[in-house]
Amino acid sequence: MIKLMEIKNKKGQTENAVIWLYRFFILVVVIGGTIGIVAMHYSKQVDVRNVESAIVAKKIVDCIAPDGIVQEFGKDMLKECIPLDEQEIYLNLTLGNDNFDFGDRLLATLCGAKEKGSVKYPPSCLEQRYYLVQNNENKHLSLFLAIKKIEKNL
Amino acid sequence: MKMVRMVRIKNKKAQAGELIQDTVGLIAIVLLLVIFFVISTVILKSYSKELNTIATSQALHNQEHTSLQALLQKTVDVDIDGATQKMTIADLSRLSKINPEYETLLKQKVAEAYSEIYNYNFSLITTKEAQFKIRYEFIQVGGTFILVPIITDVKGQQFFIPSNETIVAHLEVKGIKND
Repeated sequence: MIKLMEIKNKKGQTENAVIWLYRFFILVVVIGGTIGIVAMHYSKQVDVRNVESAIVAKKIVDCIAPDGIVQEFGKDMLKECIPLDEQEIYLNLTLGNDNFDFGDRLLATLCGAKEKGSVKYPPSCLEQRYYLVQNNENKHLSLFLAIKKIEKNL
Repeated sequence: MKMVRMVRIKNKKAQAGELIQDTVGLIAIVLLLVIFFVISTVILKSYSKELNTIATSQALHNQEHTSLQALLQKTVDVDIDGATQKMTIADLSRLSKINPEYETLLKQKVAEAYSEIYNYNFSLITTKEAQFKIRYEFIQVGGTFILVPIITDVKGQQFFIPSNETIVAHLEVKGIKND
């Protein structure tokens, strides 16, 4: 009789162990799933290059013409005014007949290809035109800016 | 013996009930996780769209702001009672408000400045017309939400020109002309 009870107790213990294993599995799914989804949400990269290019363009224009009045126009002045990474950026500026560019020219080509939709990871491209005053004469500034920074944004 | 068997059957039924309960709970949790995943994806996609809209409007605002600021400071020759006087476009705007005869000259000077590069709308408006409408929106910042005032129904840039009756120079760029 005692032997029979012992066997039955052992069986009951095994069943309980299985249930607790199952509950442990549920706990792992709940905690793991929650951590996984939170981590996935916060680790996803948002492409902020368009915002960055709008801000950088504004800074460049403010450098050339604070308050809309042209002070100086040249590559050296721009380098002193705002630190730009030549590997990650391409800038082309035209003021009247003067023109200069800066950075990786390949990005300009990629911007052209982006319009055709033939680039998998395209740079962010921005074209702007400003009205400025230089020596009390009307001047038009054309600005083309491309930002690569693919690893940080895509 | 019969009693023991009956207790075992009842125990098994209770265990099976618990098992079903746990399984239903598991399914509910997995469903919740899937819903969170979908919401997370939708939020991130809408972020990207909103960021692009902000970037586009900010880039346009920058052009309007600098271009209008430059124009208002430009000096022009204005013929007043047969004598030529030099004055800024801001002063010419004041003058055109006092004497509408100068509106044509102002329009001409604005066209000289902008017609090559922009499809634009330039006007002098009153402070009442320049008033902003503000709406409030909940925006997610990190793990929390904050209430942010957002200016709506404002198109273009405005500069206040001080005078007896405050004048507001308003420039709206509707399109940019290519080289």
